Amino acid sequence: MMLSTGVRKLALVAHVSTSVGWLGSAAAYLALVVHALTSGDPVTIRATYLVLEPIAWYGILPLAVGALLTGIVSSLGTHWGLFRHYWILLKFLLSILGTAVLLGNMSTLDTLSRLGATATSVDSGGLHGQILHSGGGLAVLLIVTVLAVVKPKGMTRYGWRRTAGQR
Amino acid sequence: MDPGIDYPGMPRWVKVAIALIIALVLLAVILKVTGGANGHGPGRHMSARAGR
Repeated sequence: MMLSTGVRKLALVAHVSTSVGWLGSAAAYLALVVHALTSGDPVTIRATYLVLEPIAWYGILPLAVGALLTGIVSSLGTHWGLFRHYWILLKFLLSILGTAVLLGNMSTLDTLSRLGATATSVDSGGLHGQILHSGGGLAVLLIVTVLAVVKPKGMTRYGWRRTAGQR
Repeated sequence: MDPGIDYPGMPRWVKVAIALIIALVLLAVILKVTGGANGHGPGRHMSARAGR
């Protein structure tokens, strides 16, 4: 089903906003973790243990899910399709991967949050894994952004057949 | 790109991207399983002084 022009533009604005928000929130998350690790200050480290979970739950995850859903709507509701072009398919798969890794990290963040709230002393070791998560996530999101801007050529076999059938 | 002709196959950039993604996912799985990257997981970082 093709979207009307107004709905298509609305979906695109929502998709760009959530995608850029996801990238920005991941960058802020990484900055927070790096700051805590380099400061070595126990208060800063404890505070970081406490804030990472709410940032991920209420900031990054809603943006990630929003970007994924609005991307599906924007692609399926236009001539681009979700499975016709490799760059869209790859973007979709990378977004799923990023969201899945984020969800898989939530239990770790829950543990860090409880440690920060209850332990009398915490070391910065729990944040090393978060560098990997946020740095890797940021790299994936940058690749997704490049794909969205460059739109490299290449149709899937399905897209090729559909295009041929429309002629 | 003329759909009237035979399908040209998967572009090289897609093959390279898929290979890179598989390599990165495997690396992440290995790090997770072996506890690399300086001890992945919060359970390793509970201080002996931590009072729970």
